[in-house]
Amino acid sequence: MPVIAQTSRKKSENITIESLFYSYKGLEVFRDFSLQAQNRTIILRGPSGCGKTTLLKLLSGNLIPDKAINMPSTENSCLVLQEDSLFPWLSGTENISIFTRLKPSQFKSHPMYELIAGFVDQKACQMSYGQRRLVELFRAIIFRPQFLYLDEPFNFLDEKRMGMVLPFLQGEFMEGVNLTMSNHHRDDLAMLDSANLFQFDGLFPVISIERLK
Amino acid sequence: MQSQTQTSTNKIASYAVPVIGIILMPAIWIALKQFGHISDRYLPAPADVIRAATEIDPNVMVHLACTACRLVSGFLLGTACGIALGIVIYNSKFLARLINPMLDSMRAVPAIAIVPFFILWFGFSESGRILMVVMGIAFNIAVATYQALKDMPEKHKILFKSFGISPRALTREYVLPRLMETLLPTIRFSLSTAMGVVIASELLGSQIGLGYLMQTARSTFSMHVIFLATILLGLLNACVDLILTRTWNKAVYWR
Repeated sequence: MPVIAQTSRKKSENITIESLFYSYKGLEVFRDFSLQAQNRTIILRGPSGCGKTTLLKLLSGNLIPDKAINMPSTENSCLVLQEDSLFPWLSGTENISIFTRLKPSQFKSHPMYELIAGFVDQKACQMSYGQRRLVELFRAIIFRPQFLYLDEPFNFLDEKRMGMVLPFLQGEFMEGVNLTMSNHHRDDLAMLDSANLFQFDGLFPVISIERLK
Repeated sequence: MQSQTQTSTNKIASYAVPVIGIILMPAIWIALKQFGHISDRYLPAPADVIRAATEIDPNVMVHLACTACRLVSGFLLGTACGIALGIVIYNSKFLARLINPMLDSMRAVPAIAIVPFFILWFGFSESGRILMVVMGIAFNIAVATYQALKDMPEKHKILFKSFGISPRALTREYVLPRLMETLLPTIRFSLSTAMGVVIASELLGSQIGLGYLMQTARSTFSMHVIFLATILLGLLNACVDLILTRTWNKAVYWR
């Protein structure tokens, strides 16, 4: 089965965070936070406002920690936000090929392409939220960065669509990729092979007592 | 059925209100003239103004057309130059450092203040006049362009970083559409600045145009001609602005 790979690279370590400090506008989001993943696929769980997105931005190098003893490399990391970030004035295909630097002929053979083939040639502004989400996920999956961070990847996707995407977030498609996803629905990811999954529940809402005073 | 009447009433209202707005000013004018007994020296009679439209030689429409040509060509050229300059300084940190201080001081000079320079440099030539408009608006548009590109939405910053691509490499695919989304208010403002420069340049030295018409009318105390020219200026600005916003909003079809 053709799986698009950028370059062959050596196997990287599981994600380790040691003693991370980060505050934003005087609000302490992480104080001495540590995480040791036992697997290459991580699910971050927790209620909204507990810092899942912030952690993903820190991991991908889009925010700079105040202090940390150990953080994974931010090189070769790709973060897909919850917010739709396709350029609405371009077609889905253009949005994919500009960023992955792949010609359409190079990614049309990917098995996940079937999911988007029906609408990918439309302008992004003509697509539904769910369709745009699929294009964004497809783009990130075929890009195969060393670290892939997906923030609530299944927002806007119904259960059926989600079930169709999940196979591409594991196995050979994620070979050489450290995948970290945030998720606030407990059951969403039950379909993922749990043997290779590291579920992390250690994030808590950051509004401290001092803040509330 | 009721909602249908509702929408048709709304439709009528949406057309009627602007029409009332347009009629209001002339109506006040006529009323003041009719009942206020204001002398012609201060407020000319509407009939005189209309008569002036047919009496001026060359026809007032020739003056209007000249002003419109100067305005539109200077405005288009100035907008293009401003956007190009803004993109260039955005693409080069070195140029940004080099040019930004100059740009900031240049755009602080009121557009009308450059008119005397240009008359000394270029005399009363048309190219000088158009260049004046370009100078008057391009710097502000360049600064707005640069700023719009620098203040990129966070999601786009993350996107470019994630895929290791610079927005500077995507002028056609990103920079220009992004500017289309953000620049319209600046450009509309520049249109009225451009109008100001054109009229000032015509007031100070020209043989034709609405500004010239006003200047000669002032020296002969022809208040009705000044009124006519002013009304035409207002209409010209409104028309160009309407065409600009309509075309622009069509071009930004994804909004």
